[in-house]
Amino acid sequence: MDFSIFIGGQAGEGIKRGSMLIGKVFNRYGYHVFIMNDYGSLIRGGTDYTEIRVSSKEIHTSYNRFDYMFAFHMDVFEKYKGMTKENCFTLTSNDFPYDDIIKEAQAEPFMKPSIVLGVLSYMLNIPENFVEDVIEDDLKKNAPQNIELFRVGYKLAEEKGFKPIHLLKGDKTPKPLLYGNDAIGLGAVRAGLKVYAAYPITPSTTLLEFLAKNADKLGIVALQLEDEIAAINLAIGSAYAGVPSMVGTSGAGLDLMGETISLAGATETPIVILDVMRVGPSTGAPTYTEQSDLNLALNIGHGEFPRIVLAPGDVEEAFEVTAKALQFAWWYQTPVIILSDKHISESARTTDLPFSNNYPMMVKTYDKELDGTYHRYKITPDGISPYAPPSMPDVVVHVNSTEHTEEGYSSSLPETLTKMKEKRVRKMKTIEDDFKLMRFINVFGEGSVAVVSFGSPKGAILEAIENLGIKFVQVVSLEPFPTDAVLEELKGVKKIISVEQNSFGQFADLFERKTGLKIDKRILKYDGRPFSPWALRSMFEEVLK
Amino acid sequence: MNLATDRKIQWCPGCGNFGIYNALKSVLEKAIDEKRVKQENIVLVSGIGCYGYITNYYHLNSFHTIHGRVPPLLTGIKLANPELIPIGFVGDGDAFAEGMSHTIHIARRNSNAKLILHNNSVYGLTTGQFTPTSPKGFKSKSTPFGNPENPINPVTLMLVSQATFVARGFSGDIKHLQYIFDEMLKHRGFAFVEVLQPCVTFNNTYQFYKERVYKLEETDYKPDNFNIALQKSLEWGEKIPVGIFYKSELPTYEDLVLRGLDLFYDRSVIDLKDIVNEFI
Repeated sequence: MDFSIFIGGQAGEGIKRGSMLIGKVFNRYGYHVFIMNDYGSLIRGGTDYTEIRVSSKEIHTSYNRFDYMFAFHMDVFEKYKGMTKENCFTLTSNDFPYDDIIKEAQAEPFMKPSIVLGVLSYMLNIPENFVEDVIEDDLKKNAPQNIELFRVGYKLAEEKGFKPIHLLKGDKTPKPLLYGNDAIGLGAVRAGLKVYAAYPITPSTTLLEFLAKNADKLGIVALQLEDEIAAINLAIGSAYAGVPSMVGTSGAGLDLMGETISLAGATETPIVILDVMRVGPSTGAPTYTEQSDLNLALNIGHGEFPRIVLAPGDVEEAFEVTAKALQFAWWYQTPVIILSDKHISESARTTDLPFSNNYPMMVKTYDKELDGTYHRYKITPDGISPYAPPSMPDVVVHVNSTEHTEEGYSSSLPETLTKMKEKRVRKMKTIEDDFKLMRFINVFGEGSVAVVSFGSPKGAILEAIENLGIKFVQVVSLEPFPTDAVLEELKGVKKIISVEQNSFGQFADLFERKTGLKIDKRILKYDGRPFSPWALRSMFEEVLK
Repeated sequence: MNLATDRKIQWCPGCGNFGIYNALKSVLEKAIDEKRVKQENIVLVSGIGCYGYITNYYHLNSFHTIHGRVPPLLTGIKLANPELIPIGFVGDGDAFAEGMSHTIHIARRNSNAKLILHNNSVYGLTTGQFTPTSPKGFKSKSTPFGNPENPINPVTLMLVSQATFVARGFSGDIKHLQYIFDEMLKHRGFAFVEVLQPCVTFNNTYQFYKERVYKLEETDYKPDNFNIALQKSLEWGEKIPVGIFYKSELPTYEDLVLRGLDLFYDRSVIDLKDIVNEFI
């Protein structure tokens, strides 16, 4: 059982929120759920839709073809009618009185999805009281009116003689239905995050909202500043003062943070920077997905300094990668960039997060007996100096953006520059050596043809390679690049296919440069929409021929 | 108590920075000696300019940061550990060119931090260009035909930005500066102090200011009325007022944002399961 439901309408018709409610129903009914939101940069009007994909087996992405289509207006139907599967059940505003039902119930347009839930529940034979319990639980004080709409939808579907099938209750235990950004926030808190600072920018804003809403429960502050520059500089201040800090933004906001990322590298301040990639260049298509900030993340900030760039491939990894990013930032005392994208951050998936994992905050602490007088930039074999926050008696912490002595005093003497640059090179080597042990790739399947990729295409690739005899190597750490691990996994592989969502092939270029291997086929997608597993599968089959 | 470090101070002889450095040094030394503040809790933050090296010369925690970004750093430090006393130094370029918005925003947030403006109305470190506080018509290396822009009045700007402590001093009068810095240190909330200072090499205003400044405390002026303060801040010409223009006490940004949270010491592990349950 694997089907996709399309709910389309205008901004303001509750499609995103309503889809979460419907997703919750299927989740509790024992099914895996994936929700993908396709919306424009508008507050009212437009042609938005959400796909709710429901399956009895684990699913990793949206299907982008539909079995059920509910369209609140004809323009959204016209726009997407080509994406229906054969025998798709379609219910447009021409066939069904969505607006009249809302008017009669004196309800609000954003409650329309509850009517859809009624029709669906009738057609799939899901017990009414089961669904009503979920609505009550999910919408709390707004539940009564939505339950009323649900009942109208259910009854009307029955009256109109829609053909029901019996969807048996699934056997999957319900899991949290989380957006990628929620998982990122939870992962950060799991690793000790205390300060999150940001300026609203799609598609990272929902993380700021999630953390702000839950700030008290999480014991953190989530702050909106005057711009991205203020956000990251505030976080640099709080990190310097000893508190785990993170900022989140998207493309253009990352550009603005560039100068301060270089500052973090020079001053060796632990900071995590999340970039939720969207379509660029410039304002681009802000609500659509792309992976075109890879080169930026690898190179942002003038001068040379150690950095780590990590890219999760799905909601679950978003949790883990973020937690690890905080650990790395503090252990190595350098900026760590997380590359998510709209398709991970603003899609929801039933996910079990590894809450039992521990991500302790490990810091090379200052020991007076061992280290003597505190020197912020003490020269050490691994390039990492003992860390101390201000507020320790008899410890003076001089942090300096100008090149500095071990004590942290400004100096541009040639021997100082050499010493400090070599310290940071050693730190970079330490990171590279440690990362070799951690590997930071995920490997799936076996075969003489291999797919290589990073980030959100993971989901579509996993579904596309099923039973094809293809190996999939997902790179999680882009910097340092896990060259040895990748070469080891690709030994004996005859053909390599790269998959990424941009027009230049930034990942493919990086891969070739780092491994010396040649990619035989580059699959690039740059229309802002996520990969479809079936489309990718036929491209893979082409290569296998 | 001597807060000096072994670094050799590298400013031009007669630079206005010496006055600011020495005045603050003696105020802080006294405060530490009298156990009003703990030495380890003071954190100095400086931006970019000749003055920026000032953090090298105090035996105190410091962060010599990039141009214009001092204010958000101060707020981050205070939020992370409210026991800390963040004191920022900015130049007229930091405060009103590169970092103008941050200067306004930290004031309207009433973040519990201090900000000292080294205002010499010229870019010294880049050897003599005009700044946002240079007078109109000011001839500099980048404005050979005279500055076409109107200058910013820092005191007026900070008043309308709702700073809760606004003062002005003159680097040529260390005793008076000490008084202002001491009051600044006592203030709970955002404290802004403009210091008029000469750049002996590119814009020597020493004589200009010396002849014009007069102290508000020596008049019947009281710094408790916003409208009068605003009016007073506009006085600039034959006579230039120095002293405390305005002072009021209001809840700080940190009070409102932290709501009792302790980010620095409280590291208890949060049970995320409770939060995630609502997503099932």
